[in-house]
Amino acid sequence: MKILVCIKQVPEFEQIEINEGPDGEAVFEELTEYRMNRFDEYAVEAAVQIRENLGSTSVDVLTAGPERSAEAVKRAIGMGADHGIHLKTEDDVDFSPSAIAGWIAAYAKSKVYHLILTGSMSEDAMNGQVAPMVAAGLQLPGATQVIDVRLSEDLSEVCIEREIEGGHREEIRLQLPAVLAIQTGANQPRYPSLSNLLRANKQVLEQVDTYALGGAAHREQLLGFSLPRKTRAGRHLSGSPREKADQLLALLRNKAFI
Amino acid sequence: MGQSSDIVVIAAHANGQVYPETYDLLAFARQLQKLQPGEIRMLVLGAAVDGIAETIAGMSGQDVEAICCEELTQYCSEGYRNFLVSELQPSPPAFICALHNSQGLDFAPAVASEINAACITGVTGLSARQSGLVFQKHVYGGKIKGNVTAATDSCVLTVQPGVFKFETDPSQPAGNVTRRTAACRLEHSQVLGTRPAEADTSTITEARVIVSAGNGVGDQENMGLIHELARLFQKSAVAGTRTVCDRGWLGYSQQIGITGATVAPELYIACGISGAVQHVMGMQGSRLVIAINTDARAAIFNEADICIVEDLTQFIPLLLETYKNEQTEPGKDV
Repeated sequence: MKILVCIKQVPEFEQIEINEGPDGEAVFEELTEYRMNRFDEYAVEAAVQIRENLGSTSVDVLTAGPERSAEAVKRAIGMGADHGIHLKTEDDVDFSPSAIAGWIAAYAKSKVYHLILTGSMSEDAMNGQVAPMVAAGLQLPGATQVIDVRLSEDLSEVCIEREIEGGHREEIRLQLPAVLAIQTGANQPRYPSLSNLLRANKQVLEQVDTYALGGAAHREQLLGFSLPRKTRAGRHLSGSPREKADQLLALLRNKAFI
Repeated sequence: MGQSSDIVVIAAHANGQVYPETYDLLAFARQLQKLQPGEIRMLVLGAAVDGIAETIAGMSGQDVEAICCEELTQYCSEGYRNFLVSELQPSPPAFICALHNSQGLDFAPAVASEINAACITGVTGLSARQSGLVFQKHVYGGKIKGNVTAATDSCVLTVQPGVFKFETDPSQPAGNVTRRTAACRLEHSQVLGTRPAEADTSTITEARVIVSAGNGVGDQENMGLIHELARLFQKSAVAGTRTVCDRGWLGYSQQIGITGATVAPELYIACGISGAVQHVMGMQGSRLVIAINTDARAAIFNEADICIVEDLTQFIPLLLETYKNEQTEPGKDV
């Protein structure tokens, strides 16, 4: 069986300082630190587990992005993926899922993958569109929010459970090949192992220039950022930690919570 | 046929019931219509949807098209995709609006891809600029909003529930329902059924006070602090975000958010929670929200009444200690 896992490298944005610009836009310093999108770790783990259970399976891991994004592919190889593919794009990361999905579909078309997996969404763009778009591009069945994957013995079908509102689960049987977006919590992603990381560092990734893949349209365009609006008063307690604790206790007492 | 100016709205329903957020979706479509005129077409797709179509038409005054596909006894991505593509491809509408939920996010990007439309998911706002319509959505974990525009004449949108509010107008006459049958081929997929959630969330949904933990707790050991803080209150419960439950620090019965429980306690204390929209959807009905987070720009502070920018691993012990000292000081004004 051949599995393709599509991953993304995302910036470390947790600690960034965000300020309000003159026109109310959000301004922040350039993001320079990157990591593998955490939601994608579940897709890599799902693929590696399938290989462990079935044997004779190869796991390819692919990213579409600029030079630096190869690091994310190496991390996925460190988690146990066999082979890395880098679809090289221009430097500036764009937020156009139609372009990313178009390149992935163009690449995968010439290969024989039984399963194509992605994470539920990227932490930066938060679109969650690539899996259904790749499925459409390749005219394959697909499902999102997949929490459980069971392959039929003859590997012609997959039974999946997808998580819907309130934690309920929908059970669906899909013919293979299929494209699945794996939900967080579907498994416990492993840490990269030292031996696999050494292997990753030695491996020369398969590089494909996205120009050569052609055909991908940038249908969505990110114009800029703005600050979210507050939905509540948001009174900030001030002073030393001790003073804040005093204020909070007074408030809780005032409202008869303690 | 060429491009149309229509605004197509896909109703969301399951088990014979319309999702109430479908009305919010309609409210969004009407706002969109004011900025870019076009006829709103509300489609309800499924095996037996006459009743649902009548309900929506009655509630909203909107004309509704009931599309009966006997294969679609339950939601199925392939069925939605096949029908919508064959229906809309000949004359792509200006907009296709679906809910940003487990259904919309499942079929909308695929439909967009097949009809060469742009796709913007998780829309929370819209505005008209000289260059055209701009849609807002959460990016970077919900810390900021991205302003996204479509580079095509046709655009598929999934709209965040709970943002655009529908107001009923009792004087409005019911809309008309037209009914037709359609074939939704299911060649590659078969829906086997739905299983109820395994987790029993009654402990947190019935609590008066919820102390909730997020990724900022940092370490499983610090969960003790969350439990200790909860013990300060009567009828309290400990809960957490998806991340905390995925890590096994809490059971899924204690998960708050879209795929967990929706709660509305008297008091909600968010500890180390970033405020991702998936979580906020589950707690925004809380009466009083207190947030503790080291990051002054955390999105949770936009949803909080009281904001405390502190490291919870130091602040909660200090709070508990201060409380204990006050209890043992009889002279203190209580």
